[in-house]
Amino acid sequence: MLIGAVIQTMEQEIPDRQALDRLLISTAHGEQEALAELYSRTRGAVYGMSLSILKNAHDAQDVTQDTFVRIWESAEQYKSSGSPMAWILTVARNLALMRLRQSSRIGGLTEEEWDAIPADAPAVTAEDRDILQTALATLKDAERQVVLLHAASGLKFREIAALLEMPVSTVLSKYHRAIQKMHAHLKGVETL
Amino acid sequence: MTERNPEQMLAQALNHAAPDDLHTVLSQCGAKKGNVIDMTEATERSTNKKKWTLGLIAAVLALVLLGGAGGIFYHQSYAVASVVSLDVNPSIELRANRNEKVLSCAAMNDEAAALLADMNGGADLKGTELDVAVNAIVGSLLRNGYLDGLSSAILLSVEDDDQNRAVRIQEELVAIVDSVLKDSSNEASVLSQSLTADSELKARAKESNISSGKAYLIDQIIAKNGNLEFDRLATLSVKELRDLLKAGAPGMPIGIEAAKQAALEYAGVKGNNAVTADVDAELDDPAPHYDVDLYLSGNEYEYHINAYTGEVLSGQKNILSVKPTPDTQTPSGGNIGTQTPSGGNTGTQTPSGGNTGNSGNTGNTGSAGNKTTDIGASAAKAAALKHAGLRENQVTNLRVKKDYDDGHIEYDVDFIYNNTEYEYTIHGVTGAVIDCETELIHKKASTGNGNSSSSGNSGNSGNSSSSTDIGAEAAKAAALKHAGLRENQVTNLRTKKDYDDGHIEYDVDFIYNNTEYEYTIHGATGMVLDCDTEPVRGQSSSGNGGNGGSSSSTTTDAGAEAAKAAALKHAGLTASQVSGLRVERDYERGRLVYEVEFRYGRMEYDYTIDAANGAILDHERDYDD
Repeated sequence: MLIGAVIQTMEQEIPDRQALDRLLISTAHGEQEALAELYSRTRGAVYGMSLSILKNAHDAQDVTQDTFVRIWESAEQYKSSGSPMAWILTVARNLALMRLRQSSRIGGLTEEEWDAIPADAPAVTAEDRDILQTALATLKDAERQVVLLHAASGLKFREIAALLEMPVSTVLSKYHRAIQKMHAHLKGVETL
Repeated sequence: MTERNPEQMLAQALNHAAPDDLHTVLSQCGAKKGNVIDMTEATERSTNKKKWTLGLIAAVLALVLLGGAGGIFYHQSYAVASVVSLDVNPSIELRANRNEKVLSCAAMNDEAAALLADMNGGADLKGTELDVAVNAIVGSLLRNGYLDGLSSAILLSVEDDDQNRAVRIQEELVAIVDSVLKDSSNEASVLSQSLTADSELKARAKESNISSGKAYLIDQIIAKNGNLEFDRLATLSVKELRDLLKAGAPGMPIGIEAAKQAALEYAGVKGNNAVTADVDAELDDPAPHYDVDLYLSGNEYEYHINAYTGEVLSGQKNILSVKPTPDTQTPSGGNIGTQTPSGGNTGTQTPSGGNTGNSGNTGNTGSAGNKTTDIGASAAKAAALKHAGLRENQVTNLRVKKDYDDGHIEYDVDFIYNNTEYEYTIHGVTGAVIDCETELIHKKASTGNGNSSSSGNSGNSGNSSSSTDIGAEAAKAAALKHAGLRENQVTNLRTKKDYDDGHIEYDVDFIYNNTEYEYTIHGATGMVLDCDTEPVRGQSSSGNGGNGGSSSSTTTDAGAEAAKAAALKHAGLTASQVSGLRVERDYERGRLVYEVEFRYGRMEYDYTIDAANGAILDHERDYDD
């Protein structure tokens, strides 16, 4: 029963596909209110995508903001038959990869950079910090991307696979492994 | 906290940590888009490489008025919307329509013509997606060694009157080029730019047999030094042009061929067919020069040639008269201890073959081996099509992607024919078909996952244009059948209708014996599109006992130790040699598996082992840099 409750909660938080579709179309018509609603509904997912690639809170925040400016500029190119969230995240991913190339920021983060995650956002709780640090510090790059995307975007595994250019089976195994690692970490249990 | 779902916690944390500053976004959204496009970023692909960055090339191109274009309107499919050019020294131009399908692929110079020979002169790329074509061309550039140099560069230019589209295509294609280079462990840099059409620039580019993108780069150089001639600059490679621009264009470099000839002459081997050469331009160096490496009989000789005068700055003269000294070998065939005149150790040319025994110049051109071992994307594509008994013009959505599996090159070749999706894995060296899967797209599944499901109780709603809808009940039945369960055995059964790309799908979820099942069922065929199982309470077990989710299909469990042993044996390692060894029990598609991870040095190994028999289902090896 616990899982049922969890699923329901998640469904409420995950942006609805049809609603996003409508919002993107309205944004393409120049309605700033639609962009504002889009921002409200998807900024977490966009930030998750950006953070999973950049591994730096400040850069991820910048890319998140830039993504919505880019969406405003190019929403008319969105084809409504597709997945709106996948389209939004493709924009974010491209910008994040470009930022990564520009900054040549490859490799691990310093302790200061980890601490920068909550420092910039008053809404971030100690628990948020813990779970983000767990995701960023204990997961491999691909595991982190998959789990952050699945957690925040509501994309299906097949859509995540397409977005990350991985086989679905790989996405599934990385997702499960990531979740197990996080479970283990949260429980403070050393797995074998 | 242990009762919380980590995914839910992550989603919440991301919402809290994500920027919440709509005002800043909106303040940037009203600006009218102009015609001046910021161009380019230089891509650095490696942190351990010598760093150079190209300053942003300011792009101010005259806007060509669309209205004067002659008033000829083509059908959308045939009208050229974007021109994408790829320049290394070969210059190739792709013309694409608004749907980003290639209308033509043209070689702009002889080197490009040679490069495109195995793609039917570029005709094979007609009708493909832009990204597929770019992928194929970059793959060919790699195979033919054009990006082997230590500091090679590729220029990608997108010309389009729709600036937003140009920038988007630029970003997407740069990501693809970057990915192809990364997959090949190639450290070439990617330069990119977006430009609007300019007929005058196009004309000059055509006269010099180069792309508009390269012509634009040359214009930037001439703007810095008006004494330089367009035609002569057009003969330089992208890497030379980039360096020249960065150095402020002080003069006209002698060029790669002249540098090579100077080195050959100095070495006394001009005209000797046994000598091969690699040349790298270092025009942005404080002492601008060309690095020329000559290879002869397993020995490597390095020369520095003044970039503007052709004077030999360093290198071994008359190499045929001096025998290599064995004690100056570099063990791995690496770069030479340059025999600069002041170095004292005169005869320091380094036999690179020496004690390694295999394939020469591992030092500076790591991908040299690919020239002989990698069959290339075109051959892989041909192998897949041949296996399927199809010709390329019969199929659609043809995509070829290079991949590595455990250090071996593979090509994933996908295409669609007659509503069937073909997925091939082709051996990158032998061209053998490693794997082949077919999947029906619209029609009823006849093979594969088993459940062709009920026939045409064509469903209720079906607002999808073409297909029928099997309905929620049939979707539920298909999922249960796949899981081998009856409805009265499961709980929390939920069925939800969904649309994906215009197609009806059903998401069917249920719980059985502490395992959550998540299915995606094709709304028209009842085929299982996706299946996922997960223990209701996440637990990672150590031994072979474990959780309650072991109900469904797996009957035996060899245990974690056996899985660990199988993985280590496959890797050729022992437990005492590795670190970070983890074994986790998991379910994949209803099958009990063990995920085994460990590290050996900086190499990370991931294995998926069948719990029933210890078979290796999947394995990956990544170098952690």
